[in-house]
Amino acid sequence: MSRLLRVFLLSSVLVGVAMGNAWGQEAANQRAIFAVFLNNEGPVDTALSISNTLAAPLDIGEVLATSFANTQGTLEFYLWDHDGNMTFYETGPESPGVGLSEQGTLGPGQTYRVLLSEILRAADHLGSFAGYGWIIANFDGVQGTANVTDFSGFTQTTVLKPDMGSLFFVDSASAGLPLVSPN
Amino acid sequence: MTFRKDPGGMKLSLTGSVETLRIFPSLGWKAGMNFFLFLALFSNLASTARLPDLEEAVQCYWDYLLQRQKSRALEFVLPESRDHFLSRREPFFRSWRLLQLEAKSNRDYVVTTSVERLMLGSYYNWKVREHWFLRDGRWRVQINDSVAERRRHWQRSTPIRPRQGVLDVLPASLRIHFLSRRPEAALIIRNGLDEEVEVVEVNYDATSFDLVRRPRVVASGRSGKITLRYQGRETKKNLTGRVDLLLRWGSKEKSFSIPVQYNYLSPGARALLGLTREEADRLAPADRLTPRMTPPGEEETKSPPGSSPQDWGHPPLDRPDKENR
Repeated sequence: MSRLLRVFLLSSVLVGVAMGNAWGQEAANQRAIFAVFLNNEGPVDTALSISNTLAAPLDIGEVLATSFANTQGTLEFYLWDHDGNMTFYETGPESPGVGLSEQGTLGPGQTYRVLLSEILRAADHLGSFAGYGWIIANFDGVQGTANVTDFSGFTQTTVLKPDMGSLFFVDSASAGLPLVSPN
Repeated sequence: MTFRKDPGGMKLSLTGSVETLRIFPSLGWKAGMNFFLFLALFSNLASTARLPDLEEAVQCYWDYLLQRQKSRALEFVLPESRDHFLSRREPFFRSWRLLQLEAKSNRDYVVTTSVERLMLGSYYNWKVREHWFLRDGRWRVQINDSVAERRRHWQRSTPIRPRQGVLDVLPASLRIHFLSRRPEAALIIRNGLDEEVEVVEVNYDATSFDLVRRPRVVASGRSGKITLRYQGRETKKNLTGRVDLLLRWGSKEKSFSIPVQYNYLSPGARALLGLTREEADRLAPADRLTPRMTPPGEEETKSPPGSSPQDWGHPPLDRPDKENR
């Protein structure tokens, strides 16, 4: 990527953040991804993989790793089950799964793997779960998959939405829906 | 080979070029070495003699699996592994071949086979390593609980351990979330020192928190947990406070001051739930929450650059004329 183009892209992102963007008034350094279906009934569980995509090849990485970007942070799970009740969990030092730091954060280029049943247990959710979820990353680029599986030969994989590059924003090389809180 | 008794023990004579061995109750080093060499040769011959039995068992087992005769392959599975074997689903394969027999002992072998397996529409060679054991004169394979084995790749196997020579407290800041079912948070004291650490003081705002758990000492190489529970008296969100710890070991002391955010609702949560700050402050624990992420209306805002086809040099989309259909 030419130097001029890189400067243009960085300036555009800076202007967008400084002036607020089309979605609202407060730009939060958080990105959200959506899991269409999560299930842990009977022999089935959902194996989640969530990646911090802020480690990337040269040109893309220079756009992403700007000085104002959050490159590392925790994950927040917002899970709605079949009757509309919400369960919440944020990762920390004693979180289940594999791939987090000892503070419970996910660093650039790292991937967190965890079972839905273990997240639910850590969140004091009783019983099984069938529903959907939003996963909010406290960093600026997130991607993931949800794998509904019985670990015996059946697995159905869905990519968490929106996936990388699917949004028409200047910083579409990162992933996840940028979140803006109403004032 | 002949045996002759004499007062000193038994003399073993061998004909031919082999030196005569004297076996006495207290063996000389030369005789002892020869004796053990003889034993090693004998045991090696014995185990080698069992390999054709093992190969035959492996052959039958895999041939039955290839023919989808799982009930007949079952007789080559260890009794304690049969439930796992019956509950697992073998992927389809069209051929197999034996690659290696690796002896762990003369009754325990690791057998490696290559299986031509169907995956994603094509056949691929897939290595399978299994333990075979000789029991009651028969070779049988051990089958592990494949479900548990696959699940463990998604599960943390070891807790966070103290670092050698380091006394620290995790996390660097505490958050007690408004949306959590249990409004608690825990500090973990990791004692990587060579002596036990005493928890001398825990200072916190007793009008807002209860101290649910507090260890008196943390042993060397272990971790201890301090748990705070928020009493939930305020409606205002995103309140801040501190927890101060004083730890002592021998004649030394160390203090930690941990910032605490409580009744916490993150900006991302507000964005997800569509709540302004005032609405978030009025939110009660019993309120039913649903995501309300709605984009702004077209007349209110300008679309972000690159979001319409014209920005990329394409003509606008033509809508079909209903009257001309």
